[in-house]
Amino acid sequence: MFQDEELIAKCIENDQQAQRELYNRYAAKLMPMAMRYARSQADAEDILQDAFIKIFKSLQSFRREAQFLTWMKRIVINTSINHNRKKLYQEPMLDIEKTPLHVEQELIISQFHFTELLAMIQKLPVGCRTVFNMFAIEGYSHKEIAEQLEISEGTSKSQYSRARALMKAMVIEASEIVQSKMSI
Amino acid sequence: MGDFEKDLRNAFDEVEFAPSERVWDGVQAGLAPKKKKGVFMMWQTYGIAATLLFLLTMGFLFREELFYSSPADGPTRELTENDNEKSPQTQNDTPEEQQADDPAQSPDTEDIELVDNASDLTVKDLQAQNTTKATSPGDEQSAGQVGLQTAGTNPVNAQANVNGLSIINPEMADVDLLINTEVDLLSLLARTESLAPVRAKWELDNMVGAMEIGLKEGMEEPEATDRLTSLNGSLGSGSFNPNGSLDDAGVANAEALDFDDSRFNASRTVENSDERQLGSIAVGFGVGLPLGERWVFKTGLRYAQYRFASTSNAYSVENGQQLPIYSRVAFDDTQVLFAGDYELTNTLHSISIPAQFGLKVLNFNRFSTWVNMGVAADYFVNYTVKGDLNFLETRTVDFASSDFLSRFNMNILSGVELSYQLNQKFMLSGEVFYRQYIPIGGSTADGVSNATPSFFGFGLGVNFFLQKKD
Repeated sequence: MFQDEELIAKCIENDQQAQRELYNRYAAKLMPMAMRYARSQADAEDILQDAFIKIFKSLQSFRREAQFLTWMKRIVINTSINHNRKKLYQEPMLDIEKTPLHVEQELIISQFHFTELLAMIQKLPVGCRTVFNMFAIEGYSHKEIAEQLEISEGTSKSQYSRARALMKAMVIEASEIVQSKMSI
Repeated sequence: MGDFEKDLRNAFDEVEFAPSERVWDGVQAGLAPKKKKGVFMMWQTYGIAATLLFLLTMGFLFREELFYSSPADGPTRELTENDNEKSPQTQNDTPEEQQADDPAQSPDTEDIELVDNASDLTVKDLQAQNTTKATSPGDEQSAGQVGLQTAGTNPVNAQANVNGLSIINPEMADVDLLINTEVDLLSLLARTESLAPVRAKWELDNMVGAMEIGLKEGMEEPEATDRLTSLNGSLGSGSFNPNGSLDDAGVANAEALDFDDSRFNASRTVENSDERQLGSIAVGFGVGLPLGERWVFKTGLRYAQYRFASTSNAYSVENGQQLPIYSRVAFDDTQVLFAGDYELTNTLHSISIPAQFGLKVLNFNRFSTWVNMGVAADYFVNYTVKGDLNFLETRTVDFASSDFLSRFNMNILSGVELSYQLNQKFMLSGEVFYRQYIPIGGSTADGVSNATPSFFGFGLGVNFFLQKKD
């Protein structure tokens, strides 16, 4: 089994076997990231496919000082954001005045499996979903999100608040279903 | 950052989810070197083909010596026995006086006197005599005359005598010198370089000049090609645009159709990108019928292959085949599967019968410019859509389901043509033209289409004029 360094070197030389091995090694790790931004698994697979093509084509520019997985994750996130950006033009984000804010209560989500959380996230509108992922999981600031998505900082905040409110509603609903099943 | 965000990160940390195999298929397709040629390569290929055809034609014409009037083609010049007997006036002239008589005469021009009145001997007769007489002493006069006369068929070396007026080179006025000079044909031909201006003028004047001389000499007038039926062959290229615009980059055709993804039970959108031109090639032959001096009616038969590209993000399964989706032609929407974007190549084959009128608007020596207008009937023989994913097969399109073409289409033709008359039999031409298809009213997924495809192209052609028999 090749180390990453060797694998990368072979991939740069367009060794198809090495490309396949690298893909097998990391595709499953990167897929959940794409799924968080996508509306469905099929969308996520499109994102992952585009991301891997970019990864293979830009391997030469990979600087060894960064972790390889981190570098690939960044490409997947950027590909996901670009993928959603097209949709954001069709579904403009709401501004803050129209956004209900119900974020007082902390959400407890540790009881849920990641696939359940994924299903909830995928139900969010595309704007909310994108901002939610970037802020809550990737750790971008609202300023950075605003720059990347070409929106105002306020819109980013409001979208995040709305995403949390929607997530809260879904978490509560899911909790009630779980509890009702347990009581039966 | 609250507990919610931390919990969320922990929930997604180190998790794995295997994608389906189609992702790797798409990655492979995306990394594979493109087999298709770019626009530049297509045009380069067709350009080379057109150039080869042109060069072959030119080579053939040169080989057949069709660029020059052969003695048989041009007016026959007749000589008399007294061709070399100058008139007393001429014989008495000093060179200076002769120069004054005809200052335009080149000093290098051989002394020659051609008389086109009642003839006793023709050029051919003299040539025949030359082979026997010129070898015997005392026949230098004939020999010299024949040599000159032979060169005279290429008028660079001779001055034609029109209406019986003798034109004599003043420097060679000495009859004795002329008589004692046996002129070698090769040396005469070698001198043509120094007489290039004269030769060029003769070539330019050949078409009209030859006719004028023939008329004045009582010879038969050659046919003017303007009034001759012609056969023609052509080779061309261009770009076919299914949206009816010349702008191959700015055409908006992002069809958006929502379908249920059968594997993921979700509604998704089938999307095709804007079309990009890949080029085309066309070959044809036809006939031109003269309608007076400036008009011609042209018709014929033409085969063309058009190619353009797009991208797609989906394919369908039809009768066990996985086929690419180009949303402007029908596909089975009950089994639509989605993939990452992949390349589509559309290839159309058509047979066309044009009917157009040409008007000569400009004439400059052997060049003429024509404006062509007319209509054409196109019968599309075959239309295929090929996707570059390795598991996809090529889709053969049912024209009834296309929203921009039917199997039979009419189009309006217009073009500008520049032609060059090589001689009385052959003419080369180059044309740029535009074909606008008439809307077919085909059906689309969201209504009736009024798509008007267009074609912008160029062509090179060779015309052969049919001479009327006596």
